Amino acid sequence: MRTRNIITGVTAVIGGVYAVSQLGTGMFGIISGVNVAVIITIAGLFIGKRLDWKEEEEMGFKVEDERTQLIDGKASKVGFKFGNYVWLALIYYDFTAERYMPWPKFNSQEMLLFGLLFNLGIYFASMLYYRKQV
Amino acid sequence: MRTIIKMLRARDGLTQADLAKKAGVRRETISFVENGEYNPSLLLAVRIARTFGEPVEEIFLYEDEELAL
Repeated sequence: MRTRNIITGVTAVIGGVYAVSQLGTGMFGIISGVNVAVIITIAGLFIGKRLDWKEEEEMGFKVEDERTQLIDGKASKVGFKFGNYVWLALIYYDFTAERYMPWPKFNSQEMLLFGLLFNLGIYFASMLYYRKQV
Repeated sequence: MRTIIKMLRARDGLTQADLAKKAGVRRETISFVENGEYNPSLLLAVRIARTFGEPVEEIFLYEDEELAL
């Protein structure tokens, strides 16, 4: 499992650096690089988790139970609530920057990337937090 | 909440993994329940109690303050 995590981490860093090298070191390039790294990390963790579950199932253990469902539910709730605030803040920022204030403007791609990264990040952070709390 | 699951496991020669299989939950769930860090559902509490052949209230011990409304 540890080897899998190391491979995932290294692949994510390589992917992120490659994306930045292709898209430049501007804001979009950096956000895209982070996004690529996050996607690779999530995919790696997902695949690793599935493999762990398969092993557990073969050994006759449950892979999901009432506690995992509770953790997932709490993390989803936190992700949904904080995600909503962030999306609203982004939209109001964009609205204000567009019409009233001389603030730097985001384009829709940057906003979508930031919003989705935040949603995923807060969800996984909540999962890790509740795994120790619940 | 405190439990006497560890003592009962030792009595019956069961590991956490054995108990997890019998109760139909993950191994880490048993660990959390055993250490009083997770309040199990009534169903899981009854399953654990049946595994040991003991009443639920003798396995899961609550302080008076925890039971107070």
